[in-house]
Amino acid sequence: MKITFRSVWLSCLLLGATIVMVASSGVAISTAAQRTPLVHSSPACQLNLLGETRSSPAETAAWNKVFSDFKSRFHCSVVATWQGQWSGIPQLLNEARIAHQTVDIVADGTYNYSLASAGDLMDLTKLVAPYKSRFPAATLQPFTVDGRLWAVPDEPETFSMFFYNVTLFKKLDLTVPRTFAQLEHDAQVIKSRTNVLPIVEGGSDAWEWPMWYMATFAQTSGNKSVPDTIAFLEGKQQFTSAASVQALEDIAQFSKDGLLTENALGTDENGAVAAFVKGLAAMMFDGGWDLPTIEAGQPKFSIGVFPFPLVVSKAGVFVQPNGSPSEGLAIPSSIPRADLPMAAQFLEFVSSPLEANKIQSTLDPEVPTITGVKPVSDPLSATLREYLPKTNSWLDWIWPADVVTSVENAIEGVLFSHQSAMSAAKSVQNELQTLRQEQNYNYDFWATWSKAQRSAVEPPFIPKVEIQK
Amino acid sequence: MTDSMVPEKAPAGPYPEPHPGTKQRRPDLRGRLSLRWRRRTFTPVTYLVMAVLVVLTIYPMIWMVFGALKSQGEFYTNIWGWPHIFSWGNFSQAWDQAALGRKFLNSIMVTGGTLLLVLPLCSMGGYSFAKVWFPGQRWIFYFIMIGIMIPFGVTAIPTLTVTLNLHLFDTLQGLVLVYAGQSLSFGTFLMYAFFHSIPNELVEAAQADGCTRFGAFWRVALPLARPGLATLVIFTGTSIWNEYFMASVLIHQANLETLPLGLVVFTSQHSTDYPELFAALTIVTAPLVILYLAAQGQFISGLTAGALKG
Amino acid sequence: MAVVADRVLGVPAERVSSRGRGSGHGQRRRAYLFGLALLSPVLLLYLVFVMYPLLRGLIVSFYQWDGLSPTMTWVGLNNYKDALRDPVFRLALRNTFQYAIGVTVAKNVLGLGLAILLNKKLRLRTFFRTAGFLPVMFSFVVCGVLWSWIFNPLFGLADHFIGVLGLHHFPGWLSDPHIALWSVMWVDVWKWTGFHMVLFIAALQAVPQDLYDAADIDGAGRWARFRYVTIPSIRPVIALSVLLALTGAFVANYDVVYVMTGGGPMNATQVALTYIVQTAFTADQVGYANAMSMILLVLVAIVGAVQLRFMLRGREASA
Repeated sequence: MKITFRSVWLSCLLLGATIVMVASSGVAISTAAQRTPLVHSSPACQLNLLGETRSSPAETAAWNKVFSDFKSRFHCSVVATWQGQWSGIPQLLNEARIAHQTVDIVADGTYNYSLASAGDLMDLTKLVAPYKSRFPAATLQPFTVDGRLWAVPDEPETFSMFFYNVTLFKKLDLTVPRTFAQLEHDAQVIKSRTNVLPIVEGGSDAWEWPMWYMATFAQTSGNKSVPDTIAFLEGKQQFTSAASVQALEDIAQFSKDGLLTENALGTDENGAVAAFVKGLAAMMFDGGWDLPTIEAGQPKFSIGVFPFPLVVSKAGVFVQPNGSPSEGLAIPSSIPRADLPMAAQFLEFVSSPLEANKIQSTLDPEVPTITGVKPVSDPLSATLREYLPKTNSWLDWIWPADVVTSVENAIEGVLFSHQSAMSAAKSVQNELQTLRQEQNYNYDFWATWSKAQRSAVEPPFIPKVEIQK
Repeated sequence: MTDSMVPEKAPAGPYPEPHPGTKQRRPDLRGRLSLRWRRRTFTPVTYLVMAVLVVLTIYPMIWMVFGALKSQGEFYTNIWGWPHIFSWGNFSQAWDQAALGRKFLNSIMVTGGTLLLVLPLCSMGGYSFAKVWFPGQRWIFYFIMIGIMIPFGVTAIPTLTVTLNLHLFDTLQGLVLVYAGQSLSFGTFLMYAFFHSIPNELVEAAQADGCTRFGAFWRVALPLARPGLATLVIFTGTSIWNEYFMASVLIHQANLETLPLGLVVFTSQHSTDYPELFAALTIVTAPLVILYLAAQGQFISGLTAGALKG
Repeated sequence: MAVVADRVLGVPAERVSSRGRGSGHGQRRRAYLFGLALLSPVLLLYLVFVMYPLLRGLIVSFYQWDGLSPTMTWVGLNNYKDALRDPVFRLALRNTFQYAIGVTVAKNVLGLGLAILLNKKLRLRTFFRTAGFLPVMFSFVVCGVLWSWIFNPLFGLADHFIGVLGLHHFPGWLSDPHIALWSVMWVDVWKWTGFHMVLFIAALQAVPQDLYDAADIDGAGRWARFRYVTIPSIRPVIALSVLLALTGAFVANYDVVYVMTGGGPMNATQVALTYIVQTAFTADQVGYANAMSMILLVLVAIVGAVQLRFMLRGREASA
């Protein structure tokens, strides 16, 4: 390139334009740990709610009814932004903050820990205390971190379970398996007398696999899987502990005995549901959220459910499903403090049995999460509701995402790659090690927070909420 | 131009010289097949390839439309076949549930607006690389090509910040500008490629006849690059019509949402209403087919035929 | 170097402006300003909406940030060091290179072949051209469901087809770690070949007929025409098409891989982009993900620059 006056002039011009633009953008990268409340601009009372798109027009209508009830009772309108999918809510919350858009109530779910540890949520423990008894204890556990409550459930509970083909079982004279041995026996009978696959699993969707570990570890740890997991994340216990390795070995047994084949890796969740509905498989391990889809498929057999069988024969160990409410409601810590009383009131209002019923009734509630909400009158519903008191929180709500991925790989490894349970467990332990070293991961964020960070998420005062009947 | 019987861009390279005295075309025997034999096997092979192509492309489309017509249960039980009951109602239900009417308008405005920006900008840019010389051109070209190489997702939040600072956040104008910016690299290279194939002599002749430089661009080169413009319309239009990610970052108001954002309504955390989703997708994809059919009419060969003679 | 630069892009000033008003230095300056004037709107929009966000992303890559809270922690080059040490990232890069080469060759060969076939006067030509472009227009959701179910081991069409052919070996299309990546690559090729086909069709239309006529006069056969007229004329389009396929396999294949396998089984189909997006939005490590994106960008830029130099340089003869 010839160095002419023109070219030099041109380069300077371009460089200058770039610098001007960079400088004039004016958004400094903040390193201060401060969270200033956003200015509440509109004079009339308005609450902004952010959540994922609703599952049906009926549900949207139910929410609108709740909003208008709230408005007529408390003279405060609620504006809902139903946008995107559940996985996008943390980003939307972040973007709203960058764009100075107020969010008073936000939908919460799997990412509860991420938001709480980032300081994005307000500690609701004291705010919810007056009406906490409305919620079955098991429904609050997934939203509780470090003894503090960060959200309240607003959608029915779903947990992991086996679906099975009742008609086929009756035809082959099989009993519902309560132990692993019985499950194996049933599977062998199915394999030898029919062309039907004993168990189908949507293993191509890797997030399904940790549910197996959650089920077995709940038993091998003596029904202490949640405290043990927290201990593991805090470094007080190892993933290579005897109970954890045993849990992996119990999973491996499924493929060793031919109950799970590599087909599982090639099937996604929808494919598994389709296979089950078509009668190509006798049993399917998945979550309660599939029940509406299965029923809509109008299979030519009756559907039954049973929990993950006992793999451990220790005394006192009981079968423990894992589950959580499908959604909860939380208050972002960036809420304008002036909005706090109304937001707290809204949380109480929407979880009152009368209002909650309006919403949950549009969601086929097999297991409602608020006492007093009518469950769906399904023969399975009664069975499912029995599981609720014993249900444990999903462990992947507690594990950081990298650990979840390594657990997925570990399970796939022991099932299909002849990996030993110990080496698989070691890979998970190493992943946690890496996380602590490279990302300064620490489960107990509250303990490491400064006073300023803590006060940013505590409500400055506890507003008095009127309890609805 | 008097010597234009053999244009300057005559292909260089060895090929069989014609037998002196004849102007016949000698068959190229290097392939060791006689021309007649080749012509006979060529056509059946062509139609076989076309048949495979049709199966691979039309069957999925039919499958999608059938999926839209099945009931939710039948979608899972009768996966590959003809729907037993044609649930035409799925289309109107999908339309209502996703409020597609308003979103259609928004998508049309955004796609149209972006094309209005991209077509002139990219043709000017491409022309400047193909037919004008200035120092540093090559480096600017490579600089612009970086735009094609930026990984998906890394510019999401920063782009949000830029639109915020320009007071364009949560507006369709902002979305249009972002889309246009992101299409520039590809569009400029595309137009450069098409302007390249226009012989320089045409441009020079136009200028000799009294055209300004811009006039040569506007009146001579641009019409000849119509296939390029049509291609740009098709590609940019298709990618923007289906674009979800940047729209989800930049648009938060419900009444400004584009079509892809509306489709999320059918997917909830663990289950998806596939028939209605497919119905909505069929409705959403149809305009693209129309756009393609309209634009590909511009693929006319021989635009420059005879341009050099006389 | 300067001579090559003059010939790689554009034509020497003397050619274009030799017939304009004035001559010599003033003429060159006017041509130069004209070129800049044409480019400036492009550059302006590009700088504001593409380059500036990229720079911001680069800055964030030196911080540790979860994307959720307003605070970022400076970590300097740590993210880059961690990325280069990360075994999953390296595996993802290896997969990405395999993906890139396979997909680029397939898309361009098939695209060009189809374009040449559909350039002839066939019956129903428009129908075939539209059919070829259809997969490009489909949403990736449809592609994902369709092909996951075609490859499904229990009721999929692929296994059915194999059964019909009489073979009894059913490969684990998406479950066998050795095959899964090829299956995903196939879906990508299926989806995007039409794009390259349309690109080549348009480019073939733009080749001046006079050149073919001249070649015919000189007695060139079909292959010679193709090699000495067609290819040189559409050389920049070929370069563009190869560049797009190559870079697309590095920076634009997120949707395809994600809906097909999400990166599994056991990272067999994990490509750079799926790992980066997973790190940024699921693991909440935006700084780390941005560092990986920058590494990816540099890799792609090198590959792209080499490819462009190689494909655009030989224009000297036809300038």
